[in-house]
Amino acid sequence: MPDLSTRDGDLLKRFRAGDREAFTLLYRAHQASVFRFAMLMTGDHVKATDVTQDVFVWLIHHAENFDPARGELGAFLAGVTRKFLQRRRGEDLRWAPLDESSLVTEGGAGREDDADAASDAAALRRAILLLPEKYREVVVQCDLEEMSYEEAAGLIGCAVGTVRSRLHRARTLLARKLEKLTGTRRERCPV
Amino acid sequence: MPGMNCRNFEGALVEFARSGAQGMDPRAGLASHLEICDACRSALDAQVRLSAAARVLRAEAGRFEAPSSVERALLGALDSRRRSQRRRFVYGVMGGAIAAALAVVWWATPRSVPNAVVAHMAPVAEVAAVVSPPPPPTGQIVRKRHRRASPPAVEPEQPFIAIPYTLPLEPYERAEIRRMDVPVAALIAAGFPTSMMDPGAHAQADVLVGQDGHARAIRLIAFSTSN
Repeated sequence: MPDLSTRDGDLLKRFRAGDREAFTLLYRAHQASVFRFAMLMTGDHVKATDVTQDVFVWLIHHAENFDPARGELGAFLAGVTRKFLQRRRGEDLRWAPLDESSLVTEGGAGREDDADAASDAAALRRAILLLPEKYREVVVQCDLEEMSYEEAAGLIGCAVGTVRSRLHRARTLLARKLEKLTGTRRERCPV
Repeated sequence: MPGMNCRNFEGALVEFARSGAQGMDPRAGLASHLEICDACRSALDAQVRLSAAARVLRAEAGRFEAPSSVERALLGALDSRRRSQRRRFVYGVMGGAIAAALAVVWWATPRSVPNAVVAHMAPVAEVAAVVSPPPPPTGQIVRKRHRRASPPAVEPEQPFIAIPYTLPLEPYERAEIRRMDVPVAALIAAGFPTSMMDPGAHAQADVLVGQDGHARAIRLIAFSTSN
């Protein structure tokens, strides 16, 4: 059975030659990861849908830009998705700045300590959206997409140490935001 | 561990919460610090909770899929692109064919009559017979003085005759034919041998005029006398 990159390379070659079915197979193989990444980064189903469509339309027009020798199509599409997310974020900033207070009030103050992990997950999803983008993307990539530090560094285009330190910082911020969103308190470090 | 504070353990706490015991670096001394620091234990709890929430979120996100409308839209975009490519190709081919056909027509069409005419130009020496009317018999000359003689006709299908000492027409050069009355004196001056002695006489002729306005060849039609 051919490995993923070989299969993607073959499909892409067929697609470039005009095979519509090959594009359908490529789309079905990668749409979920692209959509998931966009959804976790934006927290908005409509925006994630738009970004997914943009990414694959881009692929239709620039299929020749992918070089199988340089990596897998999944990573390539993740990079394209990231670019589209940055572009969209730039556009969004002109219209509606994120209002953190409105999201914080959605959290259930006075939450019970034994609340299940599902509501923690919902709070975490909101908390991730409140992170600055450079922290949000490492959390999404390393903690939610389960990329290694090396893969994330390759995608973002920075050093592995930078990814690690951003992730540590992001998780510290997330823990604090989760406290605020769920109404729990933890003891402050005295040192 | 002497000289270490909680800030030194932040990274180790995160790694421990993310990957469990295998994320623990024994050299970091995190275990011994946790035994004495309630704040770091609390921080570790928060990180572990965060990791648990991330696992749930990851499982939820694993079910995320783009709506089917995206696939339909993309296939529509793909078909539209193909159609537009095909249309561009067809239009390109048609445009090329039309351009080629026009080029062939332009190339094959004689751009000026002179090209054909020049090919039929007779040498100057042959002209004398045409330009010089045959000498009439003596008796006829007397009659001619008393009545206006009809001009001696020249065969209409005579070829053009190159005017001496002018440049020949180039194949690409445009030219036109003008019918005009040419003084016989001008014909003589141009080097045409003629027996017409009346310098005031005129010859009706088709003159081939080149792009530069200069006469290049001439075809005589008829003569008219001055009186």
